[in-house]
Amino acid sequence: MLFIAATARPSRAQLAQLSAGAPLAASANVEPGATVASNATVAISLNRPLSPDEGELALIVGGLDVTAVAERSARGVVYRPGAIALPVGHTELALFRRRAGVWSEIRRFSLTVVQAAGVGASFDKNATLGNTGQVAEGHSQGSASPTRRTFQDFVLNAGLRSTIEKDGLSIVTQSNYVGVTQRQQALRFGTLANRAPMLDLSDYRVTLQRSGSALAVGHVNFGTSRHLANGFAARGGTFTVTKGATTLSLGALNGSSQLGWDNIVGLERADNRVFGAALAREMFAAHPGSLRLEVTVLDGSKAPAPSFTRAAVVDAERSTGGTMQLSAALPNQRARVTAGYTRSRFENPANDPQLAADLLGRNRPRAETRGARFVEASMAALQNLAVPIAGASSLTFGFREERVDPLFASVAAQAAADRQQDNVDAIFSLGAVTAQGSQSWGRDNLGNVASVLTTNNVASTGTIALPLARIARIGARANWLPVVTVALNRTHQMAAGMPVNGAFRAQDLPNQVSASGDVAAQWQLGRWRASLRLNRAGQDNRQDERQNADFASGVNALSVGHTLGSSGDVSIDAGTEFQLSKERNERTRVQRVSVNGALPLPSAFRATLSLSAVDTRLPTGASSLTSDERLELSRPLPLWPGANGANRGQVFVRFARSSSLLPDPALAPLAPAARIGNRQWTLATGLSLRLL
Amino acid sequence: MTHSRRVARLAVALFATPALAAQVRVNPTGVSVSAMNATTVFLTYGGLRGQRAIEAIWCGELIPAAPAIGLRCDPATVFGQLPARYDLSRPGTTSFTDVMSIPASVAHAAYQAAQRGATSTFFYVRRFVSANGGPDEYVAVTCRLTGGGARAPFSLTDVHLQFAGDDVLPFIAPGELPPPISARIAYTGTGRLVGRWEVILPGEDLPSSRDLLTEGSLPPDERGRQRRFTQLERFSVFLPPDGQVTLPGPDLHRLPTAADGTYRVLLRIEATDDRETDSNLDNAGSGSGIVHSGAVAGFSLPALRYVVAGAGARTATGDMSPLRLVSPRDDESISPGRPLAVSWTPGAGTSADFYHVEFETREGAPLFAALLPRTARRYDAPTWMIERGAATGIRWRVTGLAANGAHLNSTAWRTMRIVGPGSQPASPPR
Repeated sequence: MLFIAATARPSRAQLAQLSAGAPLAASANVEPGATVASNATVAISLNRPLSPDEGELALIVGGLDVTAVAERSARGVVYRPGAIALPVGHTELALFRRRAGVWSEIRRFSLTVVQAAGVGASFDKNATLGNTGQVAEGHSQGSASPTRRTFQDFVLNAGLRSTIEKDGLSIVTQSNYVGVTQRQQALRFGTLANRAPMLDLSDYRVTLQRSGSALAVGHVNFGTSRHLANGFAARGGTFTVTKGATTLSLGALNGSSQLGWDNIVGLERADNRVFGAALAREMFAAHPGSLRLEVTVLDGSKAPAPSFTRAAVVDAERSTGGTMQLSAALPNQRARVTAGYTRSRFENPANDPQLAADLLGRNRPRAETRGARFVEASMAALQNLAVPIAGASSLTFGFREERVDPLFASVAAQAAADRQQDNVDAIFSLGAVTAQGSQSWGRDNLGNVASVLTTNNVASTGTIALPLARIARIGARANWLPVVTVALNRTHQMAAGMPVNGAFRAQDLPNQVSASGDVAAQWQLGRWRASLRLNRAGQDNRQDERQNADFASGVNALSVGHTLGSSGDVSIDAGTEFQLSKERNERTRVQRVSVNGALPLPSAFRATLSLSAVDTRLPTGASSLTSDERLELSRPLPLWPGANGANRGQVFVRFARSSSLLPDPALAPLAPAARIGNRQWTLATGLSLRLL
Repeated sequence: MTHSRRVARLAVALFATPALAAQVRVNPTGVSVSAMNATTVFLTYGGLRGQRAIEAIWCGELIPAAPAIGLRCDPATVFGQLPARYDLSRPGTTSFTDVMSIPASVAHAAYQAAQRGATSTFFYVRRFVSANGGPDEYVAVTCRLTGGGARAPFSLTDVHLQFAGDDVLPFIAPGELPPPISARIAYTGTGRLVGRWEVILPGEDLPSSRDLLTEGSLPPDERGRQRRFTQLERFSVFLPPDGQVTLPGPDLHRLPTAADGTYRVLLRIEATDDRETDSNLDNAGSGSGIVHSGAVAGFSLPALRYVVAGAGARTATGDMSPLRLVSPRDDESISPGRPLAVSWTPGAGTSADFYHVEFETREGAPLFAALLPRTARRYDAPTWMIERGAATGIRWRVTGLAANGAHLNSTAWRTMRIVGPGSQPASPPR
């Protein structure tokens, strides 16, 4: 091996070695032992091109393989540190020739790296100012007039992100903001109405991390317990410290996810915050995962308001509880078992004035302490067993038992109370074919309250995936054969008996079989793709006086798409749906078609097209027809492009039209076929400008 | 009070005051509801003579309302009143539509009363006030406690839209896909959920809260008249009487991300034919025919927002779509001298610019690392690295990095056991 400093003039003898087959030698743009900044570019050149049968070059810098992110050629490698700087101090560089898994060292040398100004800390900022407006609008007579026929609104979207790393401590911050000029567009208009700030905080997070410990404030999540705190995410703080095989996590979070400047750490309201602690220990540190014990305790309250991405019928809630979860696995992972037990005291405190008013008195539900447990186990009976002709095969069995007491609840998990569920399943693969089946048995009214209905439940599911080309081992034109999946589901739910004093009649006791079947086929032919889906479902009521109250429903759907280069795509979806009430012999039928397209046009223009039409035929009266059309043209604005050449602006114009023909409720008694037509169109424009 | 005494009292109330029989009628008159969770029912009242609906109260027992008409709640057994936030009632000239959303706490109170020996039925009582000086009228609906499955009304009681299972408002770069969308829905009864995913584009006027109700929550004459937006996908799925479903969101490639701005993804639910949510207008005295209200909900559905902005504004997606290691499995045995490839999958929508693969001894001493581009999904480790860790075993993990090196998300460590005789290392470590 020969090493030539880039600054040295090669001798005649060295030049003679540059012919093919000569020993490889490397030269660098820096002298061995030189002092360089941590963001310095390292370029290493070979004395001759590397031929393809000699393999490829690999560059290791300070124990980090940077080959894949370096600029490589047959003559050398150039590495420009970006995401990870050169390690400060004495740093070793090694150039290898890599062929068939064999690494042959070409050259190794050291550098002294010093901290470059600005490296170790990074700061990103972004701000986009957008203008969107409606410049024209029209609607048919009788259609509701929009609140604003024309308007011009401005929006500011901004974000900040920073990273500081020093002496093993990293601090990462990130925050996003949204500003608007129209109150209804404000982030929290839905909850604060006219008090919603025009410039609001969308989210933030600050993370401090050092080896073995991490502190996070902002949007965080907490808990891995199924029944007590299961990935509960909200604004707040978490602290995690790991020592050896033990991890302790502490969390203090708001009762629901939120936006905005208010309640910045999420803990201001005593009636809407959650505190938790979790301790996890690997019992055999040398074999993590073989036996793991987790203990979690939680105390919290929730106000009767869901998070900003959720709508629900909610109450004020408070709970205190603890859980213990144990998981174990064989070293080869072929058998696993997890079990847990949770105890929780739950109540609905009297801080929901809308529900309680002055009426409740002593009839508010009492606090109850209840339990929930589960055991689940799986075992791989066969694992990659070579089966003649078919190929590798596997078979895994699973079992699950779960019981949640009546009135059990926790503010940080959603558990279906008053249910006992037992489930067995099997997952099977035979070569390219995979199948899954499960059977479950359930029961409610675990408290055996005599006047409450008890229901038994038996459910069966089965799925199978058939990649036909692989099964048939077809090489040529294999894409013409689809991947077919079949899924079946059957549920039988029936009353266990007539409740005592429950005001139930015979026809109120369920005895119902629900069944659903899906068949889907998917093709991928180069740039073309297609899918076909058929679904049928039925509801068979078997209780007294309801034997005929049955339903059947189904969907037939076809989708065809074509990719146009790297940025264009066109797809057509069409389908029919039906629902049949057998008792009344009423059939509702829906026919639909939609076209979506994104097309690159000359002069950097881009067109986006969306068309859809739905025809609904009700059992009686007139059918309804709705259609929507949208066409958008957009183009980047070549205004003072950024350092990377990216455009800072974009402009668009969009035409949208909606129309409908709906049954006329006023004339329906006299003229069932009468329909009302409504049409509306808008012309919108927009301009966005990236300020930072 | 014993059950027999309550029945006798109710009979007296019903039959001993015929002159004060209620004129306002309701349909359905009785429903099966969940004992543990919320339930929502669409109700149609008829026979109104200019009356105005006032409060609605749940209670365990009824008493005669005289001098008013009908039966009213026994104040000693009141469980609560319909919260204003769920009051979607809509007056008409001769009819009145109502959406009864029973909070779980009301069902719990009724259940606890049943545990104490009371009957499990409870009542929803609406009071109507006459505009011309007539007596008030009370109209009751009977609620029977069940598991909330088959024979309960098909109603949506909790709709949670999420990006990759998290409540976030993601900021993404133009052209980047947001994390996958899903709707976690809790429901009662069983039936077919039919609807569509739509998106509100920047510059479009926002919908009203009434536009965001499920169609089954609207009076018949308002159905089909809600504002529509750009349709992304339609869906029609059958929901068995399980109570919970996770509805997959639209194909991410159909979400517009080219233009900067705030986008809102909407879940629109159409009314379907469900026997348990039917309102018989003839029986209610408010017309003729049956109103189907499958998938009724007592609230406006949420909108899921995402913001297309510059790279600096991107939301850290570590919690939304964590990286997952694929192979080797945890604690898998490997042989020294044999090729070792580690692989992982990014969560959909993850916006890492680089992946940092780290190998350490089990005690945490660094062995080797690799920096890979965002397209990488596997790394072929040098065999001599395995030799270095043979004595203690090796652990490894993958970290997603932003372009500036910021840590976006990390996987947990996985371990590998080195077993068997090693071959000569392909390249001796120095």
